[in-house]
Amino acid sequence: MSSMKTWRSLDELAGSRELDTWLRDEFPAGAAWLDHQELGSTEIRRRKFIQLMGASLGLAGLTSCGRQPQEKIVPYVDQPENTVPGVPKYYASAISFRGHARGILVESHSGRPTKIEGNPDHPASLGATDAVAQASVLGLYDPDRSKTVLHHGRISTWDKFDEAHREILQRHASESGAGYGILIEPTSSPTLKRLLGEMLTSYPKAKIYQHSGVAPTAPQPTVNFSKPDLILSIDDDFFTNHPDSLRYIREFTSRRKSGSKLNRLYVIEPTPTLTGAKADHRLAVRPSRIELVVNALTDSSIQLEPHESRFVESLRDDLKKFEGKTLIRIGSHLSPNLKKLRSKSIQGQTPPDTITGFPGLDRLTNDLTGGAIQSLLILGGNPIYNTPGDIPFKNALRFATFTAHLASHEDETSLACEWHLPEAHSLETWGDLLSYDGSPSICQPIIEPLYNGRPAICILKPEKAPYELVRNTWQLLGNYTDLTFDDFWKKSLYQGCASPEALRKASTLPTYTETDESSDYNSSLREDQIDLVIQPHPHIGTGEGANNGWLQELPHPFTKIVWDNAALVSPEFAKSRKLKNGDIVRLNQSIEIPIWILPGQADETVTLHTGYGRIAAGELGNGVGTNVFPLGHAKRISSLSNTGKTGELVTTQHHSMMEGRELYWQIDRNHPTNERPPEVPNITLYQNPAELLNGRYAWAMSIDLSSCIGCNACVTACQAENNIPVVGKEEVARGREMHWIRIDRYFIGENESDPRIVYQPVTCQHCEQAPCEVVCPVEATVHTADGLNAMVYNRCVGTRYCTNNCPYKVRRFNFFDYRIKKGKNDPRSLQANPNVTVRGRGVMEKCSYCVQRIQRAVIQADREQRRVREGEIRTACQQACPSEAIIFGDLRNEMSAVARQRKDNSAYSLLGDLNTRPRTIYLAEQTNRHV
Amino acid sequence: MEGGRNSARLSRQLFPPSVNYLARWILFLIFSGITTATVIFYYGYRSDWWQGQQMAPDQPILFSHHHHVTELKIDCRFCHSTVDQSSFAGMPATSTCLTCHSGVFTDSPMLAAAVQSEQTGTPLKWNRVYDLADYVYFDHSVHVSNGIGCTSCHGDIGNQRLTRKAQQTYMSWCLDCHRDPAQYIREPKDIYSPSAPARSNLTENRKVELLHQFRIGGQHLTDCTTCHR
Repeated sequence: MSSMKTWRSLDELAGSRELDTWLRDEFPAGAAWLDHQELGSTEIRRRKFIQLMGASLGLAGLTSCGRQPQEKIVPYVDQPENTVPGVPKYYASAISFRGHARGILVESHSGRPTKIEGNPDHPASLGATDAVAQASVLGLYDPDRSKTVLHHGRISTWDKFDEAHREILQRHASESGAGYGILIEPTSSPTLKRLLGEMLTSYPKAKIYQHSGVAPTAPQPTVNFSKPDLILSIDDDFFTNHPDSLRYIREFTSRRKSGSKLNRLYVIEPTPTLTGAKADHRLAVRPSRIELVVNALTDSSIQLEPHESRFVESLRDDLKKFEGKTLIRIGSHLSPNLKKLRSKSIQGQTPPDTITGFPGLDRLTNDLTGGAIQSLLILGGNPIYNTPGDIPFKNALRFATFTAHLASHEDETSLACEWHLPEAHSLETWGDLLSYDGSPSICQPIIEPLYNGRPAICILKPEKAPYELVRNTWQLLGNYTDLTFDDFWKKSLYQGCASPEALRKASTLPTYTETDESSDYNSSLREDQIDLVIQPHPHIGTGEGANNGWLQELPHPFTKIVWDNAALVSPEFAKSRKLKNGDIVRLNQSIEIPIWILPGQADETVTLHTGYGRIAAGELGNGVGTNVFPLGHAKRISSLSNTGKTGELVTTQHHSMMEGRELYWQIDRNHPTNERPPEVPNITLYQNPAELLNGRYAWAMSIDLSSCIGCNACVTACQAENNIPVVGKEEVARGREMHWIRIDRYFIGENESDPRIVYQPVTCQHCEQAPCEVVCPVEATVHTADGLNAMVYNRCVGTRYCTNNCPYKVRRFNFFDYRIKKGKNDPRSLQANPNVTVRGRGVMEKCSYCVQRIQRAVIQADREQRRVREGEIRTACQQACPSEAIIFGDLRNEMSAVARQRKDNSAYSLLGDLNTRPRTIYLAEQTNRHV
Repeated sequence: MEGGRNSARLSRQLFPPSVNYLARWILFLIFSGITTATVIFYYGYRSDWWQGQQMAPDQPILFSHHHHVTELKIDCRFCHSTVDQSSFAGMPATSTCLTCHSGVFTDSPMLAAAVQSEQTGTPLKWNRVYDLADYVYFDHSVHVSNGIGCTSCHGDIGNQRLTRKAQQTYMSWCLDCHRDPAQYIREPKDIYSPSAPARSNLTENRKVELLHQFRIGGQHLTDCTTCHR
């Protein structure tokens, strides 16, 4: 509906003057930054400026002189079979999400992994990935990864550690292992579980504990989300926080496509989540009030606020209407009283118990302090950092006589331990994992360990190679009646996963079960106190992603804050306490954190994200944001005081605004109006404009707003594919982030405390009549016959006229040289996609529709003297997207999905009235609100 | 009196008339100097000498295409095995060399590097003869599958005893063919011929037939994105 009011921030809603100033210049105050950026803090005077300009002009010409350096060709000594230099190989593997497998395909160029894709054959991926998986390849090349064994901070060797560890085990062997403990992260790995089991057989009194920043997901019935007509989620963010979330997203959005029978989603939650943003009806409720609101469904005597009772009435009505077709999801942290509601839900299959369930850190802390554990082996994780502050684990660790920590970085926990052991990245070593439905996957190495790291399984059995360990497990547990073991192994390895029955469950280790009796929920409402919600950050998690530039610079889905975390509060909350964005508050006398006002946040609720405030994360992650773990398990904030200080929070929510036009369209199926996106005018002076673009193909994209959930997977996928640099917080603050695709987040509605939240991915629209092309003085941006708006980096002289004239604000400029310098021994350069130019300073860049992928397919087709087939080209964003919201294809083929979607009733062009004739179209969001 | 003093002072500061000639000469020399420098720079830079054309870089093994290709009639694809599958034509692995040379000329000092490579497992390091700029994404496979043969770019490779750059690789040279591929198109059977002429010697009719058969031509051949990404 065009009459609806969309806004990006409260400033825009209120029409603030600061915002106007920001919008006037696309890249504000560029030259003024020269002083402290380039030359220390020396002030630039006119004379100095002319000197610099003259020198750079004179020297610029000389850089092109000189012979090209002699390059080498280094062939194999013995070329492996089926190796074609120049053609990437793909290997199936799996990476861990909360201990469960997510199937991936790793693209490898001459032995170096460069990109991660989803494995279409894996049940927890279905070909999609999330942003974190996309970014894990950068983690492999992190220069701050630990490179050697350390003993008391001094360089040591694996042999010395193995010897020390053996001695310790011998010492405990006399008491059958009493006093020896292992701390693991929750895991589903059959091999690790087998080795732990063997450890417990040899040392029956040894103890195993587990800890992770996020509690593992208790097994909830697995349901096909495409089945129910009505879904009610009570504070359960199944789009983000679930091992199977990629599958859930795919299934859920299959019922959101144009032409499908729409499902209806109700969400009750305290703070906006991706699930809540997709809801047809969303109710923001403070955690302690959720039970009351839910009880009002059955008990009409409960008094609620007017907007709450409206929600409850329509929900009650729909629950009746869709009886038997309703799915009810309840967050596992909620009170058991609420969980009774599950009986009204569609019942799914109970998934197998795949995750280990050992006592947690509270027990370990007691055992250490009490002397029951003297030697502790910590396999992964970072408990010193991500332990809630009310567990004195750090102090307890001092009681241990032997401590060793396996980790990829020398992190907070490593610093507190006697031994630090470098951990191999999951792309460097063998391993195995189970997905949520029990399907086992083998994780295979794509590259030799860069730094002498080892996986956890090798710490328990140092005399064997990881390959042997995993193979032995599969030999021992495999169900392969009609195959030889070698065939079974190869098949599982090739496919990336096997059926859930392929591996027997042999481990006698305890598995994770939900503890309903835990008092860890918040149900008693106290009006005088503020509710507190602590969530893992959607990208940084509980600190694992802190040193990953791609994840740090990925805007948070709701606040669009980068490189920081904040205390999220509602507009009402801020108004009543006279707080504004960036004001640093002190919470419970323990942490100081800046405020961010988020529309859609429940009243009297503060939401915090973990993962920030690291002190030993690495060069990028150290000191970024605020550590919220000191708040412990608190569910309430007893004291909140304004410190008077302000922190600089950097958000991209105002960047690239396409001011006040009708950009986002929503169609309510149940309130059909005549208003639909305007027909695109086709004004031209040419007799037959189609003849101007007479290529063999006509590439085009369509983006389905009904499907897009705003998860950011496409942004990181694009960054990985197209060698897009990370620019850092200060540069983002100047509006200079480089992402080729951005997710615009809009609030809809006049009510600032309860808006609808919607997402719109925007990237180069590849206008047939592109405004950028006509203003370029050097023809650096030109049109190809196939309809691509091509960017020729070599011609670009950096006038930036094109970005001034681009109505979509999708062009990005390299203000600095972000190329990774050769010869500096920086492993990050290994990640670069060899098929995409690495841009230098002073060059404009933007989405190319993944032209390297197009060309690869076109060359392949030309080689075989045929046309490119439908579906042969998938852009990086399309391939990563879990909801299949992005479709790419050839308009010349009338049967292609992209050609058919263009004819859809809900299709519209962004700013189509400018007559730019974009090749990217949008399908308006379809909602299904209760009538 | 006063005027005299003034004129005396002024005359000391005035340049004599001959300076005018000097100034003109200086201006002329500056101008012609810049022009000469530009011309020398332009032609010098583009010269075969500077660009390394017709020069054979040192190689670990003195490999002769003339001997292997013309005299022994070994197909290009025996060593450059990925030329029709990949952007990179492929360089033979040491083991490929030793397919024959484990039997013939095993002790030749010319082959010492290959034998050593096999024994130590260290690859040979060849010096690149054709080195395109890094922003050019040339693809061998699409050329050899569409009627463009080896010698169109690599010259009379069958007669080269030491491999040298037969062609300067300017963009204008690429575009020459991309604008009018008919000049270079050849019969499918001649694509890997080491002695076929660089330019096509077919009749105009046959050229058109081949263009049609290979489905090549069209504006996309000169699109920037065809070679630059």
